[in-house]
Amino acid sequence: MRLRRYLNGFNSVARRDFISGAAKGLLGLTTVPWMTKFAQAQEAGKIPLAAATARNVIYCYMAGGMSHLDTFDLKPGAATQGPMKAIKTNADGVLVSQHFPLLAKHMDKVAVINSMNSTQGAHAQGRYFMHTSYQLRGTIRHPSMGAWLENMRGRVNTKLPAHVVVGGGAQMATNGFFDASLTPLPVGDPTSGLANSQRVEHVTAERFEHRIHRLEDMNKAFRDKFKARELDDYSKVYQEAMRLMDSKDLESFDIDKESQTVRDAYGSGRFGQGCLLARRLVERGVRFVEVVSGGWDTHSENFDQMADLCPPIDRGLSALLADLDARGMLDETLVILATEFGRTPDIVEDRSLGRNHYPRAFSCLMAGGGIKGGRTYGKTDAEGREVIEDIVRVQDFNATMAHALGLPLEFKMYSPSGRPFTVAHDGKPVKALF
Amino acid sequence: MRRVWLCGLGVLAFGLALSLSPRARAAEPVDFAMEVLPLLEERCFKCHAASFRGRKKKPKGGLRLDGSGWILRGGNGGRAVVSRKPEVSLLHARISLPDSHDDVMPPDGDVFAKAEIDLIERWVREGANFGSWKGADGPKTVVPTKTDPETATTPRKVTPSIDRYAIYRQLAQDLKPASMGALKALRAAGARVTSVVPGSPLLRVEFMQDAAMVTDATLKILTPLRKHIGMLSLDSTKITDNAATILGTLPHLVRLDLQRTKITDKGIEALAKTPPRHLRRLNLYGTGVTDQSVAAMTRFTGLRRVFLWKTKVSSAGVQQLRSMLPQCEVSAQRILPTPEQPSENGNRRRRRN
Repeated sequence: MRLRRYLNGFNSVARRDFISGAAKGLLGLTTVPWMTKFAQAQEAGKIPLAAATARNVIYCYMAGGMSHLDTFDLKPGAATQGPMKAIKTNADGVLVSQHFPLLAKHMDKVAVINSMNSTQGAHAQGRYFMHTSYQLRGTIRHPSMGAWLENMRGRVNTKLPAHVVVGGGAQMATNGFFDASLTPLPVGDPTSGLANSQRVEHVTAERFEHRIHRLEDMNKAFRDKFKARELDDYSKVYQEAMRLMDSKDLESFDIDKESQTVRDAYGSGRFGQGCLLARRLVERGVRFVEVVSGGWDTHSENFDQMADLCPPIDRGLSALLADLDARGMLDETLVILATEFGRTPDIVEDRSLGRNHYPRAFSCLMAGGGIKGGRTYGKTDAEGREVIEDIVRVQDFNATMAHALGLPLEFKMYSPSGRPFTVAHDGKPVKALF
Repeated sequence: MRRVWLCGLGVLAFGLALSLSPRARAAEPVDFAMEVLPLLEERCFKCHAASFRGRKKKPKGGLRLDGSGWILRGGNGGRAVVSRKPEVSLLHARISLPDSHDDVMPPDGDVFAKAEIDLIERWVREGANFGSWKGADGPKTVVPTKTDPETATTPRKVTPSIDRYAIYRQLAQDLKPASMGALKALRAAGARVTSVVPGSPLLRVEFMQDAAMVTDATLKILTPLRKHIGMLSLDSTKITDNAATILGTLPHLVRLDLQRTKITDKGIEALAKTPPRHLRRLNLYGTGVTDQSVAAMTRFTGLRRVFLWKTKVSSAGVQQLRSMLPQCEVSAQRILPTPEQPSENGNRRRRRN
């Protein structure tokens, strides 16, 4: 029973896809061999992979829309700044808000992009856009960067999933129209390890194996009768889960293995511990870890809320950067801090100084993985309203990430209905950041 | 056909000239006006000089190369020439980028040949001496300075974006692709094997999954591929000092990850007896190495980056390593930020008034 629950958690989206996929398959709706095409192209060496500056990504996602004026695009003296104070950092000319004193000591590693621009002003649409570079549509689901990465470059450690989402479920990061085996693994609570991944005590290894064989026998008849890719995907997920259960690498999900000093350094909140888990996973060959921090939708009491929201990010992110650097991992690990949009420069007074959604201009961070730190890129005007220099659209941001990972930006992959899609849509990488 | 012939001849003649000339002048310092200046005039002055063929335009990137004062001032990106330090001289860095790189100089026309780059490198290394040449009158203000007091702090280090894979391309030049059989054996032993750069015969070998199963004995399978290994990670494996005998036989090893293994000073000393000539990056964090290893490590003259966090190397040892290998960046100090206040709660508390 515990295994079933574990598997459910492991791949809830896959189950949904599986059911809808199986239905389509049974009704004879889908027979497009897009994966085969890709596999062939990969085998023939036709995917023009480029030299990568990064091979892993730790993607910190501030769900809700992080205010750019109150974090990394400070406008000291402007009316739109409100009571937020700017502090200097160890990088010349880079300012951060008063809530990031620890990160200020690591800004030499970070490139601040102040000229982000999105076209989506609602949460679901904005998140989807940020994660996939495409707009949310009813007819298709696009894959997010972790799925593109795994699909094009494979896994580093074949026993561990390539793509993990910590603290946010799998609603945003998704395999999209790719193979269900590319679905990210959601980890709800970073401190509890990988849930339900141990055999229950009274089931011995032999008995467990026996049960699995039984399951295989039962499934085989069905599988032979209805040959469908989704069915193979599903049994692949089972096999992977079982390989992981037997592997020593399962330990990488267990942050209790870290010393208390290290755990304290990251901060005891979910975000900090999530960053620590992300580092452990990347160290053992997980390619893409998303760490989600929620609650940034500060329509009311923006300034009070920032005082609560920022410190865990300050602590977690600065510890992460320092830790990766000391271990020699920062040069190959791209650390991202992203969000769906910024917040209005105008302060809403009748909502106890709140800020509303603002996709026209916002800020994101990139560090490590070949990115040259200690500087800002792009500019907004004196009040943080409009991008006035070096605009970076959402798809350009993702193209920059893909460029760092050596993914071919022009390479088309086809959805089940035969439509072509590329890793960052029409994004152009910002090469000046490298 | 004829053009191809002529080109071929040209290349041959050029090659001949290159192979002869350095020997003839080996002891003499580079003469800037005679040897370097013509190259700059031909390839750089079009954009990096005050005027060209009577046409006035701004020098690109704020860099002028038509006067010794201008050259020493550098451009917007930083200093073009730092005496005796070609590795931080942007002029040298930008012309030595691979042909395909976006920032390679010159952007149009022929890139600099290897021998020409070497010549310029030698000129910088010899002290960037202009001889009697002065060229155009130098700039009035010597160094462009930022003056915003609100944001000005310490000046940032200018790190030229140098292609980190250039060395692998160079080492792979005469290398044939590894045999499929040997690759298969390596993979069967649990190694992840990829090319260091897509298409390169040089390999990156890592024991990522179930690293705890990897011992000294496992490393024997590296021997048939010894010339092909450019990067090797033994992170968290069970190897011991005996592994050094095999590691010492890998001629093209550039990056070696030994973090969190049982390697000690004995292993590093053994490795230093036949130091891999091209070793640039050595990760020893979380091992038991001490200051004794520092002495041995100074024999790895090509090192650019060493990780010594969580080792027994003392700060004096780190200091010694830094002074013995000035080009090498040593990461050693415990730099995790320490908590300044009781750690925040898992659940965010919201202030309401």
